[in-house]
Amino acid sequence: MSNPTSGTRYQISRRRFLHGAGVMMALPWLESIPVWGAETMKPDGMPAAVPKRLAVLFMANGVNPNQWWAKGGGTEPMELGPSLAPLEKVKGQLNYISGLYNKAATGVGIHPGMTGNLLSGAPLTKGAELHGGVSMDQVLASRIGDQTVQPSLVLGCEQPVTGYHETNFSMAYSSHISWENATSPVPMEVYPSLAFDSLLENRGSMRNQSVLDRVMDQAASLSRQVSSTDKAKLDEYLTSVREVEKRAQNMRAAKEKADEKAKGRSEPAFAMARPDNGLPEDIREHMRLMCDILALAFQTDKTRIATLLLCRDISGLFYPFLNVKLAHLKVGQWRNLTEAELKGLLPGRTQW
Amino acid sequence: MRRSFAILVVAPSALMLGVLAWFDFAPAQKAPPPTAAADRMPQLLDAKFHTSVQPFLQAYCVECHGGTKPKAELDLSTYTTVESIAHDPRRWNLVMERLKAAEMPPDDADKQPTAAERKSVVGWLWTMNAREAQRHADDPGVVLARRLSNAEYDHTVRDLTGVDLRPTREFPVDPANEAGFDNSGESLAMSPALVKKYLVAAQFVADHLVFQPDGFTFAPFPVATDEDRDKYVVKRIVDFYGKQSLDYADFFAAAWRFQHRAGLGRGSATLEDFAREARISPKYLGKVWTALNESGPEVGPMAALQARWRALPAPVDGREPAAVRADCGQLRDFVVKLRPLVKREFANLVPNDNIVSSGSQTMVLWKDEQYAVNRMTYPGNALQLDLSEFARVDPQMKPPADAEGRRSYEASFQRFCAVFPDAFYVSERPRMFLTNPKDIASDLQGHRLLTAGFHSQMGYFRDDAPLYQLVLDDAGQRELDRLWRDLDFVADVPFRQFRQFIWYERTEAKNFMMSEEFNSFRSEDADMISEVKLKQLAVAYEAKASKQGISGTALQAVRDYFVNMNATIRSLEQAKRAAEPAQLEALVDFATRAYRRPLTSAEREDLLAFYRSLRAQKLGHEEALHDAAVSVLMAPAFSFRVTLPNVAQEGGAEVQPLSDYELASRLSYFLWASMPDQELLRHAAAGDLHQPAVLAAQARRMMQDERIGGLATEFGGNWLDVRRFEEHNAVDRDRFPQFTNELRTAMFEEPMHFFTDLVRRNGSVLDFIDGDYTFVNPVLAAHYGMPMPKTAIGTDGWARVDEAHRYERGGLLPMAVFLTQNAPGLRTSPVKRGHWFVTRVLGEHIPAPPPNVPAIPTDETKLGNLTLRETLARHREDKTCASCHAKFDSFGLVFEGFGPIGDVRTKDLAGRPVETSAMFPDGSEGSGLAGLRTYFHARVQGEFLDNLDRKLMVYALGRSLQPSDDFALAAMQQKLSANGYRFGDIVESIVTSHQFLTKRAGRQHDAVAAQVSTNP
Repeated sequence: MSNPTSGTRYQISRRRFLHGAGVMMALPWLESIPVWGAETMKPDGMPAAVPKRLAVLFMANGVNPNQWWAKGGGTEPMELGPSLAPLEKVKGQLNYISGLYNKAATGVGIHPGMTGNLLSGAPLTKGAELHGGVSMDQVLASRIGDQTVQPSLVLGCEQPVTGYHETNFSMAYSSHISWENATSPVPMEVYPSLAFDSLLENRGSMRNQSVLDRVMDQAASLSRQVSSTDKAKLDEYLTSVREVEKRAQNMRAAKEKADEKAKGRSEPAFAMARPDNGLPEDIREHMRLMCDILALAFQTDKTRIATLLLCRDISGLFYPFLNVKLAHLKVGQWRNLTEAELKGLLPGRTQW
Repeated sequence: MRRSFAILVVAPSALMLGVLAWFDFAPAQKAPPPTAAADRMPQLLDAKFHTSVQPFLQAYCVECHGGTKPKAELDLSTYTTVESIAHDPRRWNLVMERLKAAEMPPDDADKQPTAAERKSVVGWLWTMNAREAQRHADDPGVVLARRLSNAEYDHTVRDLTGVDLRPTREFPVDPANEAGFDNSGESLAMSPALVKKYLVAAQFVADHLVFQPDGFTFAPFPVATDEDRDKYVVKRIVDFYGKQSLDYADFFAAAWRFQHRAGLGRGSATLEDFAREARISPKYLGKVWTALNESGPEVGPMAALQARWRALPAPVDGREPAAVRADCGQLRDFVVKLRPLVKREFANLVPNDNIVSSGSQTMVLWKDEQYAVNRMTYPGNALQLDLSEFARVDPQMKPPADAEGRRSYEASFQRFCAVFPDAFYVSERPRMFLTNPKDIASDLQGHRLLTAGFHSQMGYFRDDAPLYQLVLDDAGQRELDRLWRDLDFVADVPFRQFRQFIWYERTEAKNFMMSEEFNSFRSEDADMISEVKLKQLAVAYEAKASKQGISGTALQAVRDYFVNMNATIRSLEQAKRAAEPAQLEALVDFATRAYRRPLTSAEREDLLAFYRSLRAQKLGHEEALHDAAVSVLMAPAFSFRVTLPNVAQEGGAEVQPLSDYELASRLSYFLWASMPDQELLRHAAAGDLHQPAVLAAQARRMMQDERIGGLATEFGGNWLDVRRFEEHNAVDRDRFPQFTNELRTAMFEEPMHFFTDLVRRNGSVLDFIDGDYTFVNPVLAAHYGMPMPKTAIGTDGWARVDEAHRYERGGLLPMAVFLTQNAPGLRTSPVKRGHWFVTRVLGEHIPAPPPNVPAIPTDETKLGNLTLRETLARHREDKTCASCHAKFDSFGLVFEGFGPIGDVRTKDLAGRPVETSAMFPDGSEGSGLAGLRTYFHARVQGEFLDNLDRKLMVYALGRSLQPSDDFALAAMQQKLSANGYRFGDIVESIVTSHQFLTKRAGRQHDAVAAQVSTNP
């Protein structure tokens, strides 16, 4: 690995690094800040309306309909089944929808044929060439994604696998729910620390910054060498690049100012330390961290679209804390289990 | 109507006023040095200006072309000095033309100059032009630094990465300069919005990076996930296999030809020669040849084969009889039918319901290996088979009764299996542990490319030894090895495969790793692939397996698995570490090719320092390299075309030669609209690119190259104003449903094929007008009502059609693309078509129409009682209209035989018969294309040639022309007409011209250049 130190003019004094630090973000809702690409800015000091967000969490294996249900509606109070008991406090803000149907997931055998098009509804192709459809979160991201720092957030708690299932569908379909087009899944971040860094440090725009800095240096240097007529042309490039940089900087400054203002106005309601490097030992910790990061992303308006794959649909994860000794997949095939094994199962699992 | 052009006259005395030049002199290549007489020129010009020209202007011009609202926005009253006129050559050329043609002052003016007065002023203007040309004869002109045009950017990325990525798809359309080309600093500019698009485009290109052990390459699609990487590496291997010619019939036929080479009149040809001609492996042909001719047992499959071989017919009349092909096919069928019967098969090491799953990687890999090393071995079962069917046809196939005979029989089978493997390679497998044929068949429908055949887990297995050993030459072997090595490296296969082994063993495979001793081994742990952890797992796994009764080969298979996985993982880690410096070198190489010249050591250091600074910001190696590549594509050295003053000549001459690298780029962007290739750069490095012989040879090579298509679209498309025809939307598709997107594309491509063909065979440029041929694909041929030619159809589906006059086609003029582009959609437009011919093809300048001209109905059916022709006749009656329309209406009327989408017609859309006759500007009459061609040769051929020369020169130089260019143009014209009007001659004249080979050093330039650069 090459030595990362350098004594060149690419000093990073301008950059903020959050390694080892956490972040405190204040509520209420911060005014909407325009980002890369957008031109308009809302006036300072006025909290804007909370924008619409989309989050999709995938947990595989299905649910026990005897435990997972909701009753009531209209004027009747909502009643939740045992698996949904943890949502009791917020059920007033909840809609429970049943009867969703994905035609393309029927008649294709189990597992990948049914998961790969969960968010696209497109028929999947068997064999070596992946082909399905763009997922709806990515369609949304391409429409409204430019309103936020990151168009969408795609997280997961289990790495993808890519062999072939016995139905001849690729296991890739079991491993991803977000697809950026018909043939490619969106890369999924599985490491909480990296998801945190990328979000808080505005990785994307920082990388652009570095490139543009370098381009300006080169253009300035070339401008000094060329003939007088050419200088005007090179300077045109230089000023254009400078202008782009300036706008990005203005936006960042405005955002920081807004953060400061908001902090002064109200109590900080959400604090998160940077997660440790690597993957958490306990799956509970892993999933919790990813949910926190997702919430943080929404609260700070880094993105408005997120998906989280809690596990693959053919998962190898274990839940020993539930006294469930078998792997997730095995549990899903509960009809094959003995009486004793069954006793140790749901509702504990789905409730958690 | 002629346009005069300035030519320097040899004898300086002819510059003396009073000698008016209506006639051409043979021009010199270079301007002769001014003589004493010519040195008095400024005073003479000045004097004459005050005595003749200024009074003339005052008397006859300024009344309209002056004051507060000068007519046609031409204010002649401001030109009060000779210099002011000298600095505005374009306007004053126009003035001179109008005066010469007696179009100005207009007929209805109060006063008209006498013929003598007119002649005097015109002569003065002409002389002044000539003098300016002579003064600046050495001037390469101001060629502004400019960004790459969109098309140039796309082509450059295509040649830089090897993939046609088209990153400028969503860029705004480039504006054109006055001559209509978008490759000039006169019109190309930068803006913040465009910078952002450039950044997105650069990132788009870098997103296609694939990192390899020795550098990197670009995939045809963005590469972000493991799935993308799998797709890329697997496809390359499968494509390699697919390219191999492995039909035994081809080998037998080639062997036959070698056998009978004397009888075929090819006595001196070698076996390699016949292999090459048949496009099959010489190596394997040699082996087949040996096998067919060697002596051996008289029984068995080889004997049968040899007997059939000897029975093949001999040549007849020195030619190969048709039966040979069929017979060789039967030989092949014999082999292909027999071989599977003696294929070695292997059972699962452990039964399906054993402790260790038969679908486990350990077991499957063992099985894969058995098959892979036995593709050319004989399983020893021939004597147990019922080969009576074979024996009926080939008696040698009957097994002998005696022991000796049977030994020979089996020996023959052994040889048979060794020469003809049961498969040359395996490119897809079912799950290898399945025993039920239905399950196997179902898996095979999935086309699981290169898979090892595990259950659910990913993993590949290479099984191509027969191909490798029998067929491939050294280069082929190296390439295949490299592709497989890349597979592991690019897609991180061993890491992923091993992790998935653990996942599988813990969850699916009979829960082998469910017991407690395996709790510390998790597939998601980072250190799971470390040597320590891996060996711990191996010990635990083997222990349990052994305890459960796994022994012998199966236990050894388990042991081998862990040993092999460890070795592969260690070696891949090592390769990844070693790859980083190689990939950084590849980055420097990438920058070198992107900048089209060698990097200075400072630039090299700067690039690597940038990479290191990105690493310091905690970016990974691949991310940092990706961003460094983005910065290379954003650098002005890539996206701009700039010439620098030669360092050594500071304070020296104003005009300097281009550096060899600058010349290489100028050549390649001229002829290919793309970056220079390795051969051009080699000449630049050797410093001999300036030599005329080398230059000419390179130009010729480049005109033969397929990249000449860039000249067709960028020059041809812009010259003829159809560059954006593929977006043309003015045709009413309800009325013309045949105008599909396919037809539109075909229409656009027709002139491109015509152009490319003409350039490649160095044809006469008069073919553009006269050629009795064109190019069609099936869609266009149907539109033209002509049958698709039966022969010589290229791989792209296009073919040349000769004697196109049978279908009213031939040359550029009747091509549907021009007729459609210049029609408003529901009717023809003789005005637009004629205007196009005169302004584009002939290069004349026609001023814009006055405002408030009433519109003609857009639908031909709504013209009422008048035909289009009759409506347009108004143009002739009204004098102000006629002054312009008389110049071009006729050239559109002759095309009335073609409808709004260029279809041949005899009636217009309202049902009236069309008339294609017209009166041309010289008063002559003609009809249709033939009439136009007659007029063309009689009157305007010179104009056409001059226009083509000028346009190509503007395009090549990247700037508008100025008077000093006239020398080169005159020489070009002369060479062209002397040598059959070959396109290559125009190109050669341009690339060897002073203007092309030199640049301005960049000191203070005079006002001429300032005017040039600010013209819109």
